[in-house]
Amino acid sequence: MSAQGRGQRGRGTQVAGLGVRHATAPWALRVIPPRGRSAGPVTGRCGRGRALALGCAVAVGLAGALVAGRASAQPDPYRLLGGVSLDQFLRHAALAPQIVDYEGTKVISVLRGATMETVTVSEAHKRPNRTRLEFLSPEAVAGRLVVDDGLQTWQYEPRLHVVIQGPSLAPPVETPPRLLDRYEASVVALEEVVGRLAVHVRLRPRGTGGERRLWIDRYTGVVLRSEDRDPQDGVIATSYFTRISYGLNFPSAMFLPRIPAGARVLSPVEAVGPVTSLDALGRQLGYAVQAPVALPGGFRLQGGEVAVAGVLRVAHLRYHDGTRALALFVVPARRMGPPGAETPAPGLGPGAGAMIRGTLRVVQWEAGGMRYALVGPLPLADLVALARAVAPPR
Amino acid sequence: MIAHHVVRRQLSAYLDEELRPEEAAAVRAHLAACAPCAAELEELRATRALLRRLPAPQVPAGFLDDLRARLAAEGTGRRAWWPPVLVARPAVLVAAVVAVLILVGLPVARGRLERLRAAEVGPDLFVRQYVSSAAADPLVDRAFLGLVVTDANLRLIGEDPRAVGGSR
Repeated sequence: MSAQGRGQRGRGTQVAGLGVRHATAPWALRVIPPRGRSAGPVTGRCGRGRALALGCAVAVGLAGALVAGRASAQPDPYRLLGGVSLDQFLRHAALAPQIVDYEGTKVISVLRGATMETVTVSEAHKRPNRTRLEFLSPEAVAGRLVVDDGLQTWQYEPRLHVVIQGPSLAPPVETPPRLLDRYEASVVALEEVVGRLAVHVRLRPRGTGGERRLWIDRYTGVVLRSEDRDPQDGVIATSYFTRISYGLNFPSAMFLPRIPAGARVLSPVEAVGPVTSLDALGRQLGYAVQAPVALPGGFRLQGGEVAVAGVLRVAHLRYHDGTRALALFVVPARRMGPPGAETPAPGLGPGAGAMIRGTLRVVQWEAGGMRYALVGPLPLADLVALARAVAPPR
Repeated sequence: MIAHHVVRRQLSAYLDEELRPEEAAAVRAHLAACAPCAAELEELRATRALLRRLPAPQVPAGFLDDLRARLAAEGTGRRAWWPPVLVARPAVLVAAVVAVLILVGLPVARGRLERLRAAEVGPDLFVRQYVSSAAADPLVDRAFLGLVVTDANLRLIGEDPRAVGGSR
């Protein structure tokens, strides 16, 4: 573990003459007045003589040229994106895994509690939805292998000689959602990342805090670098390729699980369902599940299931706002004790706590004899506000 | 003819006129022919007469009141509700207590342990189950999700995801 990843910035180099970082949408072509003497006072001094008037004219001309120069320095998104809109470009990026094969080495830095952890992984992707991850460092994760065949994942831990089955990490092969409905997006610049021309895009989720920056390969749409910021914790996760190769047409065998001889195969969690109503969920669990069908920020209940891990059986409800997912878990407090306080969750009463895993946040609290947990990619303050809307602690 | 030893056991009942008529007639016939049994009958009769002449014992004054008071006190106070065998044999009593403690305490202790275990693995279960929803985000980093979900898997099977070295 290390803290070296925290605050990493500027891995790419800015392409000269194409990009200047701006705080607002760059294609708005705002005219930014130059500092110092403005046009008003200059014209006010022009009555003292012809020489002075000439000087004033020159000054006004220079000021105008400066304003025009600043305006032309704003990056034109259509030019940067090769003649497509930002919406089209983001859709292209969302579809990229379905149409591009790639392989590379990636460095991920994730905030875990109060420390930043950096992990290096070899990532291979075969379109449309197969992925192979080989963890390289640090030593504690080195050798870990994850094969995702598009249906489920197979995790092999050489130190334990076990294989653990889990859900697929692949997105559904379908038309991606329109990201601009939920994000306020802008193009920052064209930059070079790992030798590739990348479009630096800033995404701000509507209605919540936080910011996501993506460096998207201009030609393939693959995300070469990402950075997630939180208003409270600053940079909470970064990820970037240190090398990448495209179009390798990997053999399918690379993405099929191979169980090493003698390895135990474990499946620690079983999902029972799905169910389409809270009543049906309550019948399966033997207790009433109280949860709202809609949450602030446009999150709506999509469905649920029963998650079973050993003796623990919990109600798992899925919410979605069109681009981001939330999960709500409900279990009687008599069956589950309060969490170990990794991070406090202020405003959620005694016995509440939070857990931070990069962009993922978990808050747990107790209300009305039930223990609740809300998981999502939102800043902690936003997640706490949603938790209070789900079931206010007493 | 009735046996001699049988008549000797029936002499007391014969004297108290508690035998059936045919039995009494048989004893009477035997006594007429058996001198030892007749002598024993006479001894029994003399003993009974002697007892009847003894004075009747007097109950102490206030005995009934004391008895009623003590009975009332025992009725509202301590009362031996366990079988006498448990009092007579302490080992049985101890074994019974241990059995009750096991029968009642084991589920309670197991429930507490399960609650603690649930609190321990809960966040990892939540993260693991959430990841399948998070994967629907088209721009999410799958390597990041892979790291988070594999760590959660290991904790769910009771292993430290950051332990170095083998534990086989």
